Amino acid sequence: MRAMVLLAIAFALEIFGLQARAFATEDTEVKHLAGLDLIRLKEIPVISAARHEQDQAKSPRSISIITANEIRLRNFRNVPEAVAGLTGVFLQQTNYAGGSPIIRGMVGNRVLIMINGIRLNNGTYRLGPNQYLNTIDINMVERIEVLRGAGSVLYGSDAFGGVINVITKPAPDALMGREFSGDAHLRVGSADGSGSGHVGVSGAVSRLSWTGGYSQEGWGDLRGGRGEKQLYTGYSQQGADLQLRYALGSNQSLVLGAMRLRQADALRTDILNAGTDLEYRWNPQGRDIMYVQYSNSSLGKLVDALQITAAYQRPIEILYRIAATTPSVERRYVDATQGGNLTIQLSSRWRESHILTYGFEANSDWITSLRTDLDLNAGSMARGKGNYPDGSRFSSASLFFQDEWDWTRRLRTVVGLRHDRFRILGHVSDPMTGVTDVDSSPSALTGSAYLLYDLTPTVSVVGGIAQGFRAPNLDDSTILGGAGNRFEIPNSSLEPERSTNFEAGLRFKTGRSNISVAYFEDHYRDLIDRAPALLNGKSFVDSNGNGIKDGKELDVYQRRNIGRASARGLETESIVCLNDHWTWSFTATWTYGTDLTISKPLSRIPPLNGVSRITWRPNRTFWIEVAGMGGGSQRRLSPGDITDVRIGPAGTAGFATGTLRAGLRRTALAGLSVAWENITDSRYRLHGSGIDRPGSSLVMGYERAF
Amino acid sequence: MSRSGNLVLSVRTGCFLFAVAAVCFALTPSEYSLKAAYLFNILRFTERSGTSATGDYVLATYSAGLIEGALTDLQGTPIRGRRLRIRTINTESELDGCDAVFVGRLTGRGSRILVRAQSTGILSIGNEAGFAASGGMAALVLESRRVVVEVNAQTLTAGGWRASSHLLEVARIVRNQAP
Repeated sequence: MRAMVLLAIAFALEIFGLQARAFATEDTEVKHLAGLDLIRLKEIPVISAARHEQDQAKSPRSISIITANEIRLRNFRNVPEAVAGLTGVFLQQTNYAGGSPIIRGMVGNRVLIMINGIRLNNGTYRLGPNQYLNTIDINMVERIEVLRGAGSVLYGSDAFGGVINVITKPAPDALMGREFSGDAHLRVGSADGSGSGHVGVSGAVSRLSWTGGYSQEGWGDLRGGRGEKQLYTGYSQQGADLQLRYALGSNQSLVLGAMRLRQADALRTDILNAGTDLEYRWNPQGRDIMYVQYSNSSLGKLVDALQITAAYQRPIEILYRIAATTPSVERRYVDATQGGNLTIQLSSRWRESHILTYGFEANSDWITSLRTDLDLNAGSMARGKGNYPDGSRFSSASLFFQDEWDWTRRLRTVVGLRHDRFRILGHVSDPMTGVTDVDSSPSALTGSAYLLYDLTPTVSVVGGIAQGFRAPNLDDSTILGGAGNRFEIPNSSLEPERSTNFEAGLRFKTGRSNISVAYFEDHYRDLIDRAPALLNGKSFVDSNGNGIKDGKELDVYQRRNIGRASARGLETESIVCLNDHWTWSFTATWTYGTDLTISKPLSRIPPLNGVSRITWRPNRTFWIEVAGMGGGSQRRLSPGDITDVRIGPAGTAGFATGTLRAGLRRTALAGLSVAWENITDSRYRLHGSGIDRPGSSLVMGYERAF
Repeated sequence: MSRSGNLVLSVRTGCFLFAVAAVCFALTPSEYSLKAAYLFNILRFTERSGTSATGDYVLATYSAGLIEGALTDLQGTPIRGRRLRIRTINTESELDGCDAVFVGRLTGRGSRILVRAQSTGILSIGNEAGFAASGGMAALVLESRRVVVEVNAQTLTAGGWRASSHLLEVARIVRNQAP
C-alpha cells in the first residue's frame, strides 16, 4: 500500500514537472514564432484541447449549421423550429410539443439526434415521427450541425437520412483568466400566448470554469391562420443545465455536464381532435443527461488528440390515455429507458496531409416499461403490458475509422469504415402463444468515400458515396400483441436496414457570396415492415383452437426486412452580400421518394419548399429583415399517408407566408428583436403535421448580458 | 535500497525519460503561443491610415490568460519603430491611449470593450469565431488544429486601418454578420 502511495506521488511529481517544462518551452518559443513568415505560421499545427472541428467549406459533405446568435436574433422557440429553416430539413409536427425533422425523405429513428456527440436515439425509438428533438432546451444551444445524408461511418445506426448534432454552450477557457458573466433572455409570442425566460451564468476561477442556466417556458393553445384556435396544443416546460470544466493543463481538460428538461401536459393533438382517445397526455415528458468528458491533445507524435466521453441518460415519458371505446379506464404508460454511452475517439495527423479519426463506441439501454390501468368508476388498479418488454436490453459496440486526406491544396478526400455489433434481448416469453424471448446479434459493416476538388479558388465540386444503416431495435423486434386488426409477433432474425447514398454538388464562394447546389440519390434495402406470418403453423390467432379463422381472430404479422425504396432530390442554398448593408439568402429543397416494394410514393415526402430572406443593416445597432417561406402542395401519397389522420387522401395544400423582423442593439449588453410572423395570417400546415402553423403573430425577444 | 524504493526509482526514471522525450518531441507549439505570434504579426501588418503616432505601441489585453503570458516575451519588440508595450485592462475606460486591444472573451465586459474600441478606432482583435463578424476587426480562430486569422475588411476600413497584402494573403475575409 505504501509503495502504491509513493508510486502515485512519484508519478504526479514527474507529470507536474513535465507540465512545467512544457510551459517553459512555450515562453521561449514565442519570439521564434513571431519572427516567422505568415505563410509558414499558417502551416503550423497547434496542440489544443479543443475537439476536431473543421471549416464547413472544407468538408465534402453537405452540412448546415445554425448558431446561438441566429437562434436569439430570430427568436426560435425550440430546437425543431430552429433546424426547420436549414437547407434540406423539413419539420413535421404531430403536436406543438413535438417536431420531427425530415431529412432526405427520412424521419423518426432514421434520423440520428445527438447532443455533444452523445446519441439520443435509443433502443425504443419508433419508426414514425417522434418528439425527442424537442427534449433539448434551446437556451443551452451553442450551435446545431445538420449532416444531410448517411453518416453511419462516424455515427453508427440511425444515421440513415441525416444526423443532427446539438452542441451546447461550453464553459469558458479557464486558462484565459478569471471571468464572471451572465445573461438573461425573455421571449413572448402572441399566437400561442407564450412566455419564456432564461437566466444563464458562466465564469472561471483558476483552472475551473463553469456555465449553466435555467429556463421556464409556457405555451397556450396555438392560434392558427384565419383566427382558428387549436385545442390540445398548449404545454409548459422547464430546463436546466450545468457544465463544469477543469483545465488539467494547457492541453488537457475534464468536463462534467448535466442537463435536465421536463415538459408538462404535452398533448397528442391529432388523436384528441380525431376523437379516438379522450385523453392522450404526456406528463411529464423529458430527459436527464449526465456526462464526463476527458480531452488530451499532448499524447505525443502518434496520437494528436484523445477524447473519452462517458454518458448516462434517462429519457422519461409518462403517458395517460383514455380510449373513446373504454371511457372509464385510464391507462398510464411509464417508459423510462436508462442508457449508457462510452466513446473513445482519437485523432492523428500523418504526414501533415492526413487527419485520421478513429475509435470505439459502446451503448447500452435498459428498458423500464410499465402500464397501469385505473378504473375511473371503481377506483381499482390493474397492471398491464407496457409499450416495450420491461427489463429488455439493447446494446452495441462499434469500431470506426476515417481518413481526411489533403492530396494537394485543391483535392481532399474523406474515406471511412465502421463495424457495429448489436445485442437485442427482449423479454417477451408468452406461454399462451408459445412465443419465446428475443435474443439476436445483428451486425453491420459500412463505408464511405467523398471528395472535394477546387476547380478554381471560387468554384469547388464535391461528391461521394456513403453507406448507411439502421439496426433493428426493440420497437422492431419485440412487439407482441394485437394492434388494430392484426396480431404482431416478435422476430429474432431481423437484420439492419441498409442504404447506399450518392451525392454530387457544386459550390461557389467569393468574398461576397456563397452558393451551393447538391443532388442526392439514395437507395434503401432491407427496410423493416410488417408481413403476414405464421403463429403455431397458422396465419391467424386460433384463440378457440378450432383450426378455422373465426370473426374476431386476428391475422398474424411479423416485422421483416422486406422493403426497398429510393429517394432523390436537390438542395440549394445561397447567401449573397449585395453591398455593405444588404444581404440576401435563399434555400430550397426538392425530394422525390418511391417505395419500390409496392411501386407507390414513399411516406411523408416533403413537397418542394424553401425560405428566402433579405436583410438590411444600415449600421451596427439596427437591422431589419423580410423573409418569405413557401412550399408546394403534396399529392403524391403513400397508402399509409392516405389513412393517416394527419394527411388524408387529399394530401397537403401548398403555402406561402412572410415575416418581418427587426432588431436593435443600442449597447453591447442589451438587445431587442421584434417579429411579425405570418403577416398574411395564412392558414396552413406542414406536410404530415397534426397542427396548423401559427397564424399572424407578434414575437418579441429581449436579452441582457452582464 | 528497499524493494519499494527500487520500484519508485524505476518509475521516476521512466517518467523522467518520458518527460525528456516529450519535451524533445514538443516541437509543436501550444495554441496560446501561436496565437501570441499571430497577434504580433497582425500588429506589424496593419497600419492606421494618415497617422504617424510616436511613443510605445500599446496593446491592451482583456482576459487574455496564457496568450498574455506569451506576449510578455515580445514586450519591447519594435513595431514600425515603436516599442510594443502590453497593458492589461479590465474595463473599457482603460482603453484610452491604446493602439490596439486583444479581447480574450466577448462576454460581459469584453462586449463593452469591443464597442468602445469600435467607436474610438482602436484596432480590435478577438479570440473566437464570430468576433470579426460581430464588429471586431480581426480574430484568431482555431480550426482543425490550425490558427486561422479572420479579418473584417469593413470594420477595419471604417476604423481607419489598412491591412498589408502579407496579412490579407493568409487571412480569411469575413463580413459583418447579417442577422
